[in-house]
This record gives sequence, structure tokens and C-alpha cells, in this order.
Amino acid sequence: MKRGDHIMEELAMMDAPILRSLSGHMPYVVPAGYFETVSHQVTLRIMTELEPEITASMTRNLPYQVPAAYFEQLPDAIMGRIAAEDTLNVEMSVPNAFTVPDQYFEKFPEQVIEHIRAEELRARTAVQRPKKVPLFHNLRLAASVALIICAGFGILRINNNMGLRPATAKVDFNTVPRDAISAYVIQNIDDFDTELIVSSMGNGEGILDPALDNNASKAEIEAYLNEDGWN
Amino acid sequence: MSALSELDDRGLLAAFRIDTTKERAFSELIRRYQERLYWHVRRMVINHDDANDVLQNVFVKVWKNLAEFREEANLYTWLYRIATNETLTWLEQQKRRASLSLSDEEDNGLANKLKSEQDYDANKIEWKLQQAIQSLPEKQRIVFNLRYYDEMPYEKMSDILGTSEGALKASYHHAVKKIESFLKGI
Repeated sequence: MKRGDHIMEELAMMDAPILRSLSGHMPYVVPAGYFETVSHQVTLRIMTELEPEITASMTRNLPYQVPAAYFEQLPDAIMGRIAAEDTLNVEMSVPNAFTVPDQYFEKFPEQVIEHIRAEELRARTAVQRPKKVPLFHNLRLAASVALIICAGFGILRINNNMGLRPATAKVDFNTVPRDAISAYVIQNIDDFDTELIVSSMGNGEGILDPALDNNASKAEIEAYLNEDGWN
Repeated sequence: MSALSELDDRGLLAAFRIDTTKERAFSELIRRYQERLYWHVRRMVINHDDANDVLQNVFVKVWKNLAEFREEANLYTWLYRIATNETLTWLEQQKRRASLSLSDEEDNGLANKLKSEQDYDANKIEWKLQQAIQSLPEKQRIVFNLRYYDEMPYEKMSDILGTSEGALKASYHHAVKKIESFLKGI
């Protein structure tokens, strides 16, 4: 606490070095919150000691009843209650018979956090049970699938009616130009395939050269193939 | 904070004289002066509960007489005067009680109360100072406290105690000498 200059000068003139050196701080303790209660305590005393008539008239005008001598007894009642609460605090401050492991409270927060983490991990890795899907939803799904299948069949039928059949070898050969077939045979065929071709020709399948007689013999066909330079 | 807290002492007195604002003005007056008066009383009686009793007596007396208070006098000075008188009255009552109880503690009552204070430590200089102050006569104690702790001008002190400024200066001088000797001797 800073002291006034006039006080310090006066002490210096009086040759009082010890008093000059002290801060002026009071060592007395004041109960916490005391100054907030002073006004109320004084008002209460005034009401009970000085103005009981006023108190009485206030109670007369109010519809509420107050026990007789209530205000006179109130200070004592309050003090009695304070004393009882003090006794209770003393009783509660007596150490209980239970023991706690060493450092239990220091480790407790960490243990709680670990427990929480373990729970979270367990929740994440657990196999999730399939959700119960409502019946109506299943029916809708089935109906959609049926519709798609039917549509697929319908499209397939339409395509078939339009003659869009998958190609077969017999049909393709009849539509493929002669020159293309010849080119293919030249590139890919060899002597060992000659018999295959002949047998195919005999069945009426495969390539039919208009130059060839349909009744040509096997030997004639082989000769024809050799002359045309198949080799 | 209420509007009353912004009023000066004169405004507060005016509010006290109006029925509708009387109680609030009085509460504001308590709030304004309670700490200064509390410490003035406590330095004399030492114990908190005793100081509380005396302080309540002070304000009850203020309530009774404030309506007749002459505004020529300073409210602050008037309050201090009431507090000083109530404190001296209380100390006198304690002495009479002690003498009636046939106890040997008549002169040691306040010294014992000092030693039973919370955090009392005889080795600490601030407690030694309190011991030194308690060894002074009552009125000299009041003069020393008002000057050393409250740094009150002698003129105001003279209004409060009804003693001349010269006498107060001499009283303070003697008190300082005694206390310095006490503190050097320990």
C-alpha cells in the first residue's frame, strides 16, 4: 500500500525508520463476503429493534401470516442455524473409513479417456447388422427388378421380330462377297485344309464357286484348288 | 450500480429524507462507508465478531439520527465520530465486564484476543506492530490509527475527537516514539 508523502515525511522528522519501512497492511483476516452482508444485518436490526410498529403494520397489510415474535427470534434462529451448519461441516470433515489406491485420482482422467477410445474403436470395427428394411420397400424393389427383366425380354422379342438374329456361319457365307472369301482362303488356308474344304463342298456348305459344277468330283475339286495357286 | 451510488453525500442525505428512497439511500450509505468504519473499529477491538457488533451499533445509531444531521458538518467526519464513540463505549463495557468477573485478564484482554487471531505470528513485524499499538492508551491508540493508517489530516481528526490539532500532533508524536522503542526492543 503506497503511503502518503506527508505521512512519510512526518515519520522521517520523528526519526521513526521502522514505522516508515512498514507498508501499513493490516494482518487481520476478514471473512469472505462479509461486506456484502453488513447492510442486510443492519436493516434487520433496525426492523426488529427500532421499528417494530412498522414491521407490525407491514404484516397487517399483507395477506400473509407471520408467527408471533418471529422477527425478534430471527437473529437467534439464524445464529443457531449457522452453528448447526458449522457442526455439520466439522462432522463431514472427519475422514471416512474408506481408502483409495495411491494416485487413483491422478490416473482417473487418463483411464476414462482410454476407456472411451476403446469403446469407439469397438463400435467402428463391429459388424453392422443389416438394417431392417421395411416390407414396402422390398416390394418396390422386387417390382422394379421384374419390370427390368420384362423390358429386357420385350426388347429381345422385338429385335427377333425385326430379323436381327445372331449371325451363323451358314448365313454369313451366303452374304459375304466372293472376292473377300478368296482373299481370306489365300491368306489362311494350306494343303491340309484341302480335304476339309472338299468335304464341306460335298455337304453343300461352304463356298460355292459358280464356275464349279455342283456335281464335280473330289479329284476335280482338288485339281481346281491346286491350279489356282492355293499353295 | 444504482443511480444512488452516483450521488454525493448531500444527494444521499436528500434521498434518505424521502420515504420512498430512504432505505435504499441508507443501504448505499452503508456500502460507501462500511469498510473504512469497519477497519477504524477493528483496529481498536481486534476481534472480527466484536468489530461487527460495534459496526452494526454504529449504523443503527446513524439510522436513528441521520434525519437530524446538520449538513454543515461533514458526513464522513460525523460517521467517524459515531464510530469512535461507539468503540470507546464498547471497550469501556468490556473493561467493566472483565473487572466484574474478578479475572486477572483486565489489562490483557485485548492482548489475548490479538494472540488468538487467525494467522497470528509473533515473529512477523506487522503483528508486533499491532502488539505495540495495543499497549498504547485508548485515545492515543485512536490518534495513531487515524493518522498512520487512515492518513487523516489533523484538522479532520480534531473535528472527530473534539481535541485541538496541537494536542493531536503531540499525542501522535508520543505514540510513534513508544512504538518505535517497542519494535526496536523486540
